[in-house]
Amino acid sequence: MVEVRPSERRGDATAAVLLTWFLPGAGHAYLGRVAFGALAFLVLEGLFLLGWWISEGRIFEYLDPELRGPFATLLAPEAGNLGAMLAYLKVSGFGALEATPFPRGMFLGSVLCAVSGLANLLLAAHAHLAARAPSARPPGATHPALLAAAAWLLPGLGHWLQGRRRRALLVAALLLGLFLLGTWLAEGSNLSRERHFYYWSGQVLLGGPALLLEALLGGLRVTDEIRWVDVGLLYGCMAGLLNVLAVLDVYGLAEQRWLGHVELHGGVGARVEGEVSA
Amino acid sequence: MHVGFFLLLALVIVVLGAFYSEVEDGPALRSVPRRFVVFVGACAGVALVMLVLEALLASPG
Repeated sequence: MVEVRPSERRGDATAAVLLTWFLPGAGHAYLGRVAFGALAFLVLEGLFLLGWWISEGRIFEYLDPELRGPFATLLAPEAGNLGAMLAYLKVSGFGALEATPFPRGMFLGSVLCAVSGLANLLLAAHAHLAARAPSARPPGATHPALLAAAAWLLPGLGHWLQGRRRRALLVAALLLGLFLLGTWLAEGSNLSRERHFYYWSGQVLLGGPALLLEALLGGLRVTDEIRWVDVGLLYGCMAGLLNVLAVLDVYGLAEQRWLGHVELHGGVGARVEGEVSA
Repeated sequence: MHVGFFLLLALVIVVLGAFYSEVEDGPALRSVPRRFVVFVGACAGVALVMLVLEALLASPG
């Protein structure tokens, strides 16, 4: 983490993050960016509510009954939008008591709520930097949270936009290769939140490729024993978890560049050291 | 086969870990062999400890 002079800080960064975690936009409102905070609130809570409505409040019904407890959902991506998730649990709980068919839009609803949680974590990172960074936006720079979002959306994209092309290709090849190999070994059975709730929580961190493949191939029926299903599930989940390392790699360098601590060689977000200090 | 699966996953973990630790590609990639040996060796050590504990404490009879 890069430190800046206390005189340049707008507020307490930890408080901004915690506020954002509980209520999207609250951290920015605390930092005086009320309009941005209100817009973020509307977008992220809107996503969550839309997912809630489409899924008819049955997302956590995916959890096996013996796993349902007060902390069972903390490893789900929805926990990134903690206030919304707690409200969801308060109102809808773990869904219907009797087993009934899931609504048609279950996958979409589940994805919207998950994306709301993950996006709120990026918003919290945005608030953290906003609390510490000088008010002047560095010329030509892309915000680190946006680059992190790109790195989540497509493994390697964040590195590519930073001008680190070789690393981008290696990250994409390794993570997508691991995920596709895992999906092949699991014969596609990993592409189901209903079947593997917690593995899915890791896998969704791979972003677009995991969601796209699930949209295309998810819900396949398993009719026989799958020999390497455990390895496949592990590979899919690990690909997502390792993408977090890639996202942090992108974010760390982007933050240093944003705060004017690193001279760059090119790419989105690149600028010359010292431009931001004014 | 399981060892092969483990080594493949270990390689991906090590490369991503190296990228996270090193900003420049050159030093990151050069550090991969050493990191790989350390990672696999450490995992083997943990596995050995688990096997010893299993043999001493958990074996029936």
